[in-house]
Amino acid sequence: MKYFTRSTVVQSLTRIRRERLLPQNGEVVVRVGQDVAPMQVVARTALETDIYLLPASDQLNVAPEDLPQYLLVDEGTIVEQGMILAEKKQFLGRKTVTSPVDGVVADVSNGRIILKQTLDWLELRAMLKGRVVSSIAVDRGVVIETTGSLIQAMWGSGQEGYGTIKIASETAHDPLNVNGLNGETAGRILVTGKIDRVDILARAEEGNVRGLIAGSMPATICQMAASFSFPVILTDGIGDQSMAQPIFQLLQASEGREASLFGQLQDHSGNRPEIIIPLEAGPGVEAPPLNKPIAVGQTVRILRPPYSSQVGQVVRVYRHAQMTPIHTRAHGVDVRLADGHVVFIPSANLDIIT
Amino acid sequence: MTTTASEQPTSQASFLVADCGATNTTVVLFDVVDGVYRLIARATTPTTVAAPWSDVVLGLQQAITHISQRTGRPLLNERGTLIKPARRDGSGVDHFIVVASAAPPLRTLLVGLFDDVSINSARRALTTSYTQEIDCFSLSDRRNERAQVAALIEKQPDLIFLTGGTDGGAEKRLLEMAEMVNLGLGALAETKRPQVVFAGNRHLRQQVGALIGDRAVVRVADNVRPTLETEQIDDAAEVISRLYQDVKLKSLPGIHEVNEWSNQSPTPTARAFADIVAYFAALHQGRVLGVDLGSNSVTLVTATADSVNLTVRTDLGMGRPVVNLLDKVEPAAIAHWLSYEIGQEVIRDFIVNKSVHPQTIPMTEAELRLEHAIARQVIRQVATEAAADLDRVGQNGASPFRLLLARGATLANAPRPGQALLILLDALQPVGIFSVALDRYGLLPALGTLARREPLAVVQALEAGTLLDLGWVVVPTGPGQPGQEVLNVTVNPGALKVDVGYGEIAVVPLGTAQPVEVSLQPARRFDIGFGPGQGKTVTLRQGAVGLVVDARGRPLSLPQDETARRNQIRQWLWDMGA
Repeated sequence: MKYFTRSTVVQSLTRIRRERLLPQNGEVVVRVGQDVAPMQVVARTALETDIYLLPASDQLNVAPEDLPQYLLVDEGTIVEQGMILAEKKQFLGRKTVTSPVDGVVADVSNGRIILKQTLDWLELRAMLKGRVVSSIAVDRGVVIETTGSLIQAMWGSGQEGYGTIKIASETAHDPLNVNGLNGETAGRILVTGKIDRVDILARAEEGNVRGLIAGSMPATICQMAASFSFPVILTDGIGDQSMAQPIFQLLQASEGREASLFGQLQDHSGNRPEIIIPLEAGPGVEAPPLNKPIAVGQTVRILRPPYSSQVGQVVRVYRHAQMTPIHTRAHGVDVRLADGHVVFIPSANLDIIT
Repeated sequence: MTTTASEQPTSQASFLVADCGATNTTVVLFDVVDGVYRLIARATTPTTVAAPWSDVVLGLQQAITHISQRTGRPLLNERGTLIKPARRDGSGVDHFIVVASAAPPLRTLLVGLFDDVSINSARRALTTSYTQEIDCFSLSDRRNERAQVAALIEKQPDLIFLTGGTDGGAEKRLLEMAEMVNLGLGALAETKRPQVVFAGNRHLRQQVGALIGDRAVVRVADNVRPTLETEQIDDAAEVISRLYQDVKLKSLPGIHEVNEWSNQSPTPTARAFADIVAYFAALHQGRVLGVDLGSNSVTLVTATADSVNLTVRTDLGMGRPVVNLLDKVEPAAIAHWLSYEIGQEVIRDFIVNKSVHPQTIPMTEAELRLEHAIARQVIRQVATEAAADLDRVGQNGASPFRLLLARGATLANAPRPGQALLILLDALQPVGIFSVALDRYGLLPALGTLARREPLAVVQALEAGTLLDLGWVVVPTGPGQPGQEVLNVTVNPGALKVDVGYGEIAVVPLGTAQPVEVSLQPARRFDIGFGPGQGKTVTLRQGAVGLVVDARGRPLSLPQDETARRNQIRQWLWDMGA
């Protein structure tokens, strides 16, 4: 029976398209067809972090409804500090309203001019080596296409990053040792089985680490991770879980290659944190298959104890709900684990590795 | 309830009802068999609104296909479209109804005058629907107008709920607030402007409309606080609910195709659940409490024959929002409900993992117990705050009810019925005499949508055993000491006598599925709802658990000593067969 199951993409070579979106309308500064480097700016927008409400009609001593006839600017006009926004000529001289800051005229309402002050510019970087294949609504962003490895993760600290991969633990089960942070790890993205100490993040920041990829990390450390400048991405979950072997092996094989980390938290639309490792490839590389119903032969990862993070192969798909060890009934499959044991796992607790 | 021949359905129409939750989609087929509505089949599949599917229809089609495979009744054509109406060859269905809670909540900016007056009432109106308050501007807000406008622009709400002023009361301050909203709207790009609901001083409707109407769609509702003494949230609640339908449910990816299958827009699940709880309240002519422990929200409904109170909490649930529980209670409060030792870190990690993988289910006894402990704490949090809110507006939030209806996967999938019942008793700590029914198939909202148009279908579906009757519960209250006799229970006069002591929870087997007479005699200082020491003979049914006497006292208190507390929890679980 067809049964959709959550899946995680762990592909060594696939075609990848990613949107790079500004949080608001702005300006796209690359063209379709252009090759971009990870740190290249692809779009930018003014960050308006302050608002000014200018009592213009009071300053001109006119009724609020009469203000429009004295305005020298329109909605959307970019203004500079000291620029005259409205003017009323009088018999002897004139009355003016000047802009107190650099900004944009956002609105004129009830005798007031609303200025949005441009305090900073947000520059959106490609964060990915690839080619711009389309723009989004002219002024919102671009879609970048590349080929390479793609790993979807479970949790991210929110930041994005880019750097060269370095394996920092011997196995997928080992935690990152604070002594392992040294001159060789500066500027690198470190891969480790686990993170189990809160001071690791501070030491990584001091050591100019560009990012951390781990199988798991306790919730208390996750809470703090957002305050660091580099992204932390967990591939398997929260707590004390090892990194799934296929993910660790793919990252091992990618050591020395450049990777992009997208650490966004999972949201309502299902976007997940991910690791992209661009790799040159000829034509014919396809995008990863999605929407695959669960089937015999598929590689799956188990999401809950007692087999958390273990990877196995589906050997049987049950047509009807089965009894679980805690005496509930659930749809599921038999999975052959790495040690040869076959166990029943509810489909809800599975992740198809595609 | 029984159905006579004269009550047989007249329309003979079949119904396919879908409940698109945040995690799972359940589809149910009702049809007439031998002149009576029956639940023909039910299927549950993962909801597919999020990536990688991003199409609600896929999950629906999958569930409908399961039903077709089980019943041999084709419901989808070769293009995957619903066959409607039913055909003579037995394929298809006459009506398709959708209830949904899969959309994110309405991100709401609350704007009003006084925190204790209009803001409070507005909050109660907002909690009747899937909303999330992202900010509040009131007279107690220390931010100046400029900072408020900046906050409005930065937060980009879906809805601005503008309230304040009694009818005929304050105008100036409210109009200043409206002007501030107007400034914020003007500074937002047109495509990002939220909808506005005005539910304040009714005399200002025209002025507010004239001020803001050019910038945003302004929907008007009755003032939530027409006088200082009266609160009136029903109309505003209705407007907000429709807004959730229009803005959020209609934006679900793929929903346009679902709308083509149905004659009506999806109904918010919480509304449909409130309808069925109200239906039971009318049926029983008594107070009914409904608890829906969902993945992305918790809904609490209290209904009597002539009133319904609805509380929808989108900041709590057993799925993604469960992580918010850590902001409200320490893990120790959750460990409190466990009979085994567990580290606070383990609880934190478990909760964040559950938030990341809301669809997963426990596979070990320890994880099941922990999930149940979290369920207790989530329900308790919602119920306590809702009761305090009801108390504030002059209704007794903790008053006894006649029936408790419970739903949600954590409760419905509890391996033993005693577990589900004990979760509810621990979390709600109710009093009096009441029965408890569990929505084991996840059908109640679906029945809620049918309650108005096909009431007979609902009666007959309920008769067919769609609910799991957990049994009756008696909760004596009064001051006592452990072991002190609290209640004497006599089943079928002379057949069985049980004395229940203070601090105990006892299951009294009634011995038969048929109703039996049970005499309940509390000790002198204990009350079961008829006054201290006043007993009564009642007719009760066994249910899945039996007659439960919860003499543990209210509020429930647990031993301070850790070992004693764990032993106590273990004993209660044992006594409940949980």
